[in-house]
Amino acid sequence: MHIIITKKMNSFIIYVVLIIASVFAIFPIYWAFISSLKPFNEALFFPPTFFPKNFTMDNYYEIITRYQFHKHIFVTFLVGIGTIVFSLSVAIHGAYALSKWKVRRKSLIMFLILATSMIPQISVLLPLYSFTVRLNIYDTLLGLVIVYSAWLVPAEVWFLKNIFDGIPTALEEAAMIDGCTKIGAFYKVILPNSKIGLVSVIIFAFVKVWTDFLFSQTLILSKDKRLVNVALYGFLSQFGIQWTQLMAATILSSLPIILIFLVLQRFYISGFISGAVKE
Amino acid sequence: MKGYNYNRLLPYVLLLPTFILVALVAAYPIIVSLIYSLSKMRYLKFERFVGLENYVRIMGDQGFWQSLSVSLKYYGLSIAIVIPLGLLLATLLSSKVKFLTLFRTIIFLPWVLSQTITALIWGWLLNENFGPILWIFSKFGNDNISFLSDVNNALPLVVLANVWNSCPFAIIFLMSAIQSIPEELNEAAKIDGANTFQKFNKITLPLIMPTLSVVFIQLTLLYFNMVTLIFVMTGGGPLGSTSTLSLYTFQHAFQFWNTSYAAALTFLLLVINLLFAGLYVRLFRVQY
Repeated sequence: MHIIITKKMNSFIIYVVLIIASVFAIFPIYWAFISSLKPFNEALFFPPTFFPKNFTMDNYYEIITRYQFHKHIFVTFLVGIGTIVFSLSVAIHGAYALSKWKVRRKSLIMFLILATSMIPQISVLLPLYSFTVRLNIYDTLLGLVIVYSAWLVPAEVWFLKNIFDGIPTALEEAAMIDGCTKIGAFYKVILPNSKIGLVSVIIFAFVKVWTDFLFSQTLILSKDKRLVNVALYGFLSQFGIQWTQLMAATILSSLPIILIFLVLQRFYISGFISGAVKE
Repeated sequence: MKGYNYNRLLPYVLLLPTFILVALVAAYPIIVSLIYSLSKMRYLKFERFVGLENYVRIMGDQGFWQSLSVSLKYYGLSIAIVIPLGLLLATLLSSKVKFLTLFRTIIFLPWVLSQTITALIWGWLLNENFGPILWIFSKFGNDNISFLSDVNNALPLVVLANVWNSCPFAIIFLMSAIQSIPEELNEAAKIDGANTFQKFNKITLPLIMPTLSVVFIQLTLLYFNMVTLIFVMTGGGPLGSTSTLSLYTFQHAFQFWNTSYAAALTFLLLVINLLFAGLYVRLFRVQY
């Protein structure tokens, strides 16, 4: 027995499923957003209002003036950029060596790097905490940058090696005929030809730092050095903070990453996908 | 002669910083957590070696076994929802429908938000006094329900938030695999009279199997080791009903400051994960 579904029926079902999935995906974000625009007393209405009766920007105003949330955003940017600079200057050279030079036991090294990139944070948290305490870089942004870089370098090396592998040796040789040294050819030819891959890695590293909670929660003590997610968590237990203000902070700290995703979607996705698998 | 040596050494010099950082997140944690776990520590201060005492304690610890079972429930429930749902949506988002880019962007969006934000947004949605989900329940005459404060409801609800946040990851992976299937294969099957379900079963599924395995492994690592989402959403409560092994380890390390006991748990997690990751790399013969 064949179940015959006409083409129209078929595409109707597809639309229904996609619309349900879209509503499920977007409603929580919409709810957070409109809550951030409601006066606190309206947020306590039951039944709830699905569109604010009275718009207000007070929650955003309070979260910045009273709770100084912009400082946490700034610190997160700082650590994100520091991590990009440090981890990429390490990973670029490591990946280059593995891609274009003769290295002994290369496949073992690649195996270890890949396995390391899969180690979850929870199983390195306590040792790395003790590392920063013993090195006197606990509660410093420098310590955070070092730990984030160490955490991200394996995935970055893996990703960049694949990018460099795709650049033809002929390009490198041409530059060397023109009088470049081999390593000079790397900076002058290989790197500029890897721009697209580099953008993906930079986004990957930035997003990883921006969305992290565990390292910044355990390696930072001072309130004013908290990254965004830790600051948000801190608000939860803070006396007197209102949910509408918390939602305003939530929206503010999601904004940069949503913007990056909307504008650079292709790079964003390839940075995360290629880090996890080589086809 | 000098150039010869230089060229042989250079790659290792270039690799040295990478080696140091990799050692910091791989070798160092293994050694440190092993040493700590075999010692009696007061905070970070070594007192004396105690052998396997901490591991023996773990074996007899009710909390350990309970959290292990919560971990398996959390993991099993999440993966059982995300894999089929991811397959379905990846297939639909690869078909030719209108507004495809819009659908994709909207459905991917929750994935870019952090676990902390996911936990906060869902905590607010599930508010037990005036949340929209309570309102839906009250429409059906049930406004006396509790969500995250209920021992039976908390875990499935954290799973729900987790599905919301992580399902797009599966969709994106599977979509890229589905889209790399040559069009001719589906055309040929159509000519032979295969229906949608048969096409999926005989063509799509076998061809995306390698990617599906990768997704499966990646999600297993993610779910089994997840701390942040659960920590922010429920803190492991009520009554330990959402306290997974990873969260239990986190709490022993950074809330109760049982350094040696937490180190033993950490070491166990590390070994399990490394074995798993190594197996994955070998099993799928990832090329390098």
